Amino acid sequence: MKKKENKIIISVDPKLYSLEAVYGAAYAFLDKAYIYLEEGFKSKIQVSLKGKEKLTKKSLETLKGEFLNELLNFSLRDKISKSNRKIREYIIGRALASALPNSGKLMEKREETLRRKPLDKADAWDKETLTEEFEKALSWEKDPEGIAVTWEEKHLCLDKKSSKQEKEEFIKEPDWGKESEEIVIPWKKEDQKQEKCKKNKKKKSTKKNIKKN
Amino acid sequence: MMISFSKKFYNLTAIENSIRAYVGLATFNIEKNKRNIVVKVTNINEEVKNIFRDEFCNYILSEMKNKSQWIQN
Repeated sequence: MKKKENKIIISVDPKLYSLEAVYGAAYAFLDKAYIYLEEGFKSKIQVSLKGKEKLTKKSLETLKGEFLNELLNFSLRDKISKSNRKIREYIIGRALASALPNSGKLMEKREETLRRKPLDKADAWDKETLTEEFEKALSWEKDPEGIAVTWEEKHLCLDKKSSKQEKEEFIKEPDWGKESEEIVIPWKKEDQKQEKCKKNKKKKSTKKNIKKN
Repeated sequence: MMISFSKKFYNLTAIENSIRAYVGLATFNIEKNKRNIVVKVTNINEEVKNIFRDEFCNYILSEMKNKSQWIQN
């Protein structure tokens, strides 16, 4: 510690803390102190912290403590980001691929490449769970709860068996210009047919009765 | 004023970028040797003379952090 220069020097072992962590901690302290990095004894990193205002011995010590804490924090963050890098890239890749228009083919290609070159063993569990989740999400096409059924199919009983023509007729807007023509609602067509049949039967039966008489 | 930056910790592009930012306050000259990049600073503005060195070092460090983030990503 150099109290006259308002400065404290910390030597950091690069075997324990990575250079990235030192940069991170230094960056966090830019507003609190002036920081200068030097090569120290036995290739250690010498970090000199100089207070922006006049500091007492105690406050210099606390500054040092805070810097070391920050160093530990950043080294942990660095380790975690390195260990999660592959899984992060996988998730982002998957999300971007699914957003593309021909995503299906791309996904298949991606799956193939993953099969050929699998992730690390450490990431294997995460990969499995993720693929399960994705498969679940992609199974919407099966539609077990009938969410993807259209309003017409659900409420107007235009089921899958009804012909294409019937569906098209239903979807097609009626020609409002022709007032004279009757607008026939398709789902009432069957009822009309049935009524016609009944009428015809009645007519036939009355004719038979007349003949008999 | 001479400020030497270890090549292990400081990058030449970061130093050059900082010089570009500080060029209005002083005149700079860069020299290199085996281990260090030495920046000779002359004609420093009187108003900022006291804090010039420290602020300049901090600025270079911030540039280094930005650069290291780019490399990581």
